[in-house]
Amino acid sequence: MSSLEKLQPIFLQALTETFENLFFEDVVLHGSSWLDKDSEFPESWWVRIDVLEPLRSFLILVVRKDLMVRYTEAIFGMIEDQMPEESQVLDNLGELMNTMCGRILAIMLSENCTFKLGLPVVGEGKIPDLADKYFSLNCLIGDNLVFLLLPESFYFSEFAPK
Amino acid sequence: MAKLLITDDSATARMIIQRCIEVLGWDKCEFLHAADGVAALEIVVKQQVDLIITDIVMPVMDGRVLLKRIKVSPKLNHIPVFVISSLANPAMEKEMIQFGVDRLIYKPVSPPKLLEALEATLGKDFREK
Repeated sequence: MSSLEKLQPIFLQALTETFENLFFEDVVLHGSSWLDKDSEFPESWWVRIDVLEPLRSFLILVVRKDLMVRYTEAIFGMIEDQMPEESQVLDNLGELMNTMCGRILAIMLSENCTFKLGLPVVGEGKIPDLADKYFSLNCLIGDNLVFLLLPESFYFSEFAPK
Repeated sequence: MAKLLITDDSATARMIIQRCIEVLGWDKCEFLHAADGVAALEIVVKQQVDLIITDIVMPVMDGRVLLKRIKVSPKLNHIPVFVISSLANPAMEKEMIQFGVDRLIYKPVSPPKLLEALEATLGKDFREK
């Protein structure tokens, strides 16, 4: 079994714990794919967090805009005619990613291993600074696909399960 | 009425913590929000607060410094402090315990995690205060 195959249950567990706790949603693995740096995700936001220690890498999550708006409305208890500000939605996405990355590294690394994360960076459209090819774990949340993107520096790192 | 101060630079994170506490039946509490350690300190020197729940990584003044300031102050060190973090980090955990943290809770927060910590720290009857 490759590192990537061994990483998949870790990612799925972290995604499930995060989405269940924050939004009461189930996460179902919906396959994986290899994408190139020019891949596009219409009507979506991406959020990137750099892993600073013990490995140097990053993770990116891509979520549809309407799904994040719905989650933000729920968290802030908004009623029908209220719409969240974009800054609230992006803050929500950053918090979601921060929580999920913390869970991924806590599950993946040994108990005594220290890790450090950078601050979430959120954007839309083409994702900057990507290598030519990266791995995408595709998950289904309700009817929505969510993509977790991993670069080589993550799944080939010495800390990835062998 | 009990006053709980939630400190986090993310408004979402603050609302998630508040909602978790509200669904536990602690909805009669007054929730105060602060976006960093300086804002939190400004609140606690002006008014009585029963519990501080804080994130670690924040701009201006982080949760480490806030915790330290609270616990070295003879006027404030009676206030319990919960630190909430996504960083499962043994060195950080040791540091927080040295500073006098009352609870360290890892994200994602959930009502059961908070209930156990709230009841152990403030008592089961506290929600009726």
